Amino acid sequence: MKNTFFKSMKEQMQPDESAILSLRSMICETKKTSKAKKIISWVPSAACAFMAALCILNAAVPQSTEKLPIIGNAFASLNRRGEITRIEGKTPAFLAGNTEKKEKVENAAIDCPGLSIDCAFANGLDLSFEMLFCDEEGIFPDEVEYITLSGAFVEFDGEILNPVAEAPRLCEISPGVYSGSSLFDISPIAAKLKSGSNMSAILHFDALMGSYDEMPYERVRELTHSESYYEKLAVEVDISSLLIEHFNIPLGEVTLEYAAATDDRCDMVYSASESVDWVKSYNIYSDAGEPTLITSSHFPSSDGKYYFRSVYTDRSDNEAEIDEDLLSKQMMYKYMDKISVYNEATGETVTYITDGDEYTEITEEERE
Amino acid sequence: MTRGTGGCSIEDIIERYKGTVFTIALTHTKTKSDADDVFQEVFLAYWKANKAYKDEEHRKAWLIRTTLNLCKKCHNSSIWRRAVSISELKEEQFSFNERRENDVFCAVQAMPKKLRTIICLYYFEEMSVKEISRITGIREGTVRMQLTRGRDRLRDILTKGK
Repeated sequence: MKNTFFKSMKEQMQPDESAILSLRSMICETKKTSKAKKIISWVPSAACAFMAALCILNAAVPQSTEKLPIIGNAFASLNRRGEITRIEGKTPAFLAGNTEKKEKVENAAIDCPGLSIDCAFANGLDLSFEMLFCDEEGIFPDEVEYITLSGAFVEFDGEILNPVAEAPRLCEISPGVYSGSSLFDISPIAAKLKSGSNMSAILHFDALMGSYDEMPYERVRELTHSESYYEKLAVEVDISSLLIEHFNIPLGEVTLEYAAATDDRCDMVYSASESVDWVKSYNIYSDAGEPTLITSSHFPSSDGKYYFRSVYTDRSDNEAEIDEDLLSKQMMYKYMDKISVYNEATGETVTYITDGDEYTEITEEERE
Repeated sequence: MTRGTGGCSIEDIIERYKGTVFTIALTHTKTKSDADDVFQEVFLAYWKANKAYKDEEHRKAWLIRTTLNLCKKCHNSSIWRRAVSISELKEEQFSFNERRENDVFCAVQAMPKKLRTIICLYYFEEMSVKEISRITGIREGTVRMQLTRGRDRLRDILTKGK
């Protein structure tokens, strides 16, 4: 034992028997109310595939029955047992060209909430990627380690830029690392941003890594306002990683608070497309130094309802057993009007409408 | 009940990890009732997740991370922010047998969250720097740095009342 003093304290820190009894009772209740597994037959296909991928959406969940705009997307694939086998979203989409990094990020994303990616975009050109984690106590730390994705560049006004060489301090920061004092110097990148160009850079914060309210947001605004060449720099607050937290925590106040915070501080709401190809056509422009999240035409839809779709398939069975509790929790159907599941192998979409308690499949005509 | 527990009953899991979960919850929340809530939510989430774990270390890591996440949620929630009277708050405080233990505990609770987490995992959970690094995702060098800062901060609080 490192220290008997702390050992003594640890031995005293035990939950009351009443808390344990109450917990057992809750587990029993959960077991009783758990619905039976449901077999879902997908739209018939003579070919092979089917799957049971579900979308998990980082929607702002209201405490009332009112639905709020969707503010981010992530996708999860489930296996037959209802276990999450893969999470995909913006992050893995960016790493499509690098299997090793992709796996690392995917695995990290499952185990390490708050992983986020910052990108410098060039319209229709190759993209360069850096990984930035921002935590609650500082923007960027003293200790940095740079990760670059091989083969990725930014073309800027005909000049190929490699951010490693141009901005060596644009780097990976592990969650939890902070300096409390040093502010990241983005001037090398900012200097490259010229007015009239198609290039933007994003200073990207991951809301999961700390309380949004504690983020040194005002300091960043100060910085981005102070330099004229930061006019193409957007400040983005990404709350989609909160979704990962939802595997452990029921939806509720967390997303609502963040949604409220972003509504107050940001001009627009960002929503990732459901397609992995979105990044290539994704242009981000901001007003000078203004915190900006980007609207997406996908959400909300023209009929005022909110949707999400699953895109990925990872199974070849024709049927899947889906635990309805898991389904309901992860699909958040209580807050969504319609759920679409896309079979990547067949190109067909199965759509369900929900009333918050159960869902029924609808035809393509009805969907239209 | 053995669902999602790799062959162990949920009671076994609770018994095995109740101290760990509660200790982390208590050091990261303000009141004992919040710690109780987090404690219950963690195991309920564990039960509902029905997850398969590579090994016991993986299970423990999941429980610890979930506890930390739930403490964060508890901290941020509007319920937590409700106003309570001082006498209510005092009733809710966890109390140790020795005065020195209470002083140290208060000092740990007064520390910044990140340092508190490292101190808690290192001293109360007797985790190594490597283990802490694996669970929190923080690099080992950074863990050591935060441990040093945590000790310094603890010393400052206890000696100078900062």
